[in-house]
Amino acid sequence: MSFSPASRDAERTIYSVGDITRDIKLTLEGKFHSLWVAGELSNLKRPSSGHFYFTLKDDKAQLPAVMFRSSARTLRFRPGDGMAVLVWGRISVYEPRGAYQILVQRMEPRGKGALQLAFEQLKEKLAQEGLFDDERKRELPLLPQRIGIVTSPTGDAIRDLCRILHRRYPNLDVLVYPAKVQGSLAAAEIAKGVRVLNQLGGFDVLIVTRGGGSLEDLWPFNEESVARAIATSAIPIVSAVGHEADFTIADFASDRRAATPSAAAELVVRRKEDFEERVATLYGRMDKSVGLRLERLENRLERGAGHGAFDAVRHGVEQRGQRVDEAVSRARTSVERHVRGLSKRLGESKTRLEARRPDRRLGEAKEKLTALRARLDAAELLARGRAREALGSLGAKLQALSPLGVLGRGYSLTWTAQGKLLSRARDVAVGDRVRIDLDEGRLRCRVEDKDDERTI
Amino acid sequence: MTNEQSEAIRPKDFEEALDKLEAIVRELEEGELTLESSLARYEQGVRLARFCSGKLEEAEKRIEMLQTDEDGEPKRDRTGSLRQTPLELDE
Repeated sequence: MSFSPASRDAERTIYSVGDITRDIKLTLEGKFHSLWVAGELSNLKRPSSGHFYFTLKDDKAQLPAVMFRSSARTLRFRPGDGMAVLVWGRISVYEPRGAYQILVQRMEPRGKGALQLAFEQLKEKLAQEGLFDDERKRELPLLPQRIGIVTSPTGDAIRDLCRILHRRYPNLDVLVYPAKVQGSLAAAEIAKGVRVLNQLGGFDVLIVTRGGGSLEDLWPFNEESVARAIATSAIPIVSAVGHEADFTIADFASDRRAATPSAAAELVVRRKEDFEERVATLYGRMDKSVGLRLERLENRLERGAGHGAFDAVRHGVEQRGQRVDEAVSRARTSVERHVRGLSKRLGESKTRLEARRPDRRLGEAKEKLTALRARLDAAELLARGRAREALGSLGAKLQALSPLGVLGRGYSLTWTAQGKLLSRARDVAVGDRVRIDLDEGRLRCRVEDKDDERTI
Repeated sequence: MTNEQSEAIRPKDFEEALDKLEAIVRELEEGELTLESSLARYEQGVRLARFCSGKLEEAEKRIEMLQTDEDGEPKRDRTGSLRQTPLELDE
């Protein structure tokens, strides 16, 4: 027998569905108006409305969840099924369907921070596109003369950078594109700066930089827009963001990464003195080898002078009162003395200049340098003029001594198979082919025997 | 030879001039040239060395900041030149 429910109605509290649902809603929402829940994402959906719908679950239960567009927009990483997350929000009951769910306002990946995850996701994506490939990296110019910098005009980075640029290379042309380097507008401004400097053109290299800060502060340099602007730049780019340990997406996309703004300056500009030294060294080597050349000619003349055939010429030379060897050594030593001496003084005055505060003394020192340089130039010209004069008269003498002139008297020219004029027996081996030019005609011969000592 | 000479006299940039100067020095040091060509090379070398020294002095020291509008575009004056201001960096 069953009871008639109606008979006991008076003793019972009876809710309507609407009433009990309302009560449940008030209880749940009152108790769980602000809570953190850890779980795994599943059944994630994002319709065109922009809201996220998903289920949070663990091994015991499931909790339906929604994250409205306004909150979803602030996510820095892409949520995915199976991802362990921590959400913050409140429980809400949806009366028409008698369902409860959590309204999520914040979501963080568990284990890694949201920024870290976003960093890895973007890095992976751009790497797959080939944006970071080694083949894309360009060489920095050896001597950049116009440098574009995208950074904050008031930050530490620009000050550090310019101080070093100036110390290494006082006459540099630098244009700064002012951009915010932290906050939500920064990425767009940095990317714009890179594009604008590319459009303006005329830069040998660009530097994108900011000083140290938290991961949040450096974040703009991890944005996709910045990475893409850097990767598409026609001008080589050096990135220098934060400190030694900070790696950003911008660093991967750029042609070279510098650990700090100061390091960027050192990477981009070598010391001016190093260049000057290199040019001076080459100059010195050039003078030395021409000097050696002249010395060798001198020796040949001397040797020639020992032979009867040249005596007349030698006599003529002496008669004109101009000894060839004197002219040669005078030319050589004057070139060397003047150029080297003045280079050295220039170097010394630079060292003195460096010892002082360059910012204050620059104008004065620059004038001194210019004057020194003018003197160096004048001395070079003078020395070179003298050298050329000496070389000129030497050339005339050589012409007079030219063996071609004496071929008629039975002398001949012997050439190696490589076309080198042969003056020493030790320069050929037995069995080598040689060519002999006579006054009339030529002989092709093979060396049968030889004696390395002078025989005449 | 004439082509090579005029090229050597008008290098594209510092780097190229330095490379050519190095090549000339090597050639001279190898000593395979005739007296006449070595004097010609010497002359080229002197010009290249001067070009390099000139390049080292060429740029004027300027640290300027571009003026930009609210869209981040560079501002220009009436003649179309960029508006930029010297950047004051206090030590």
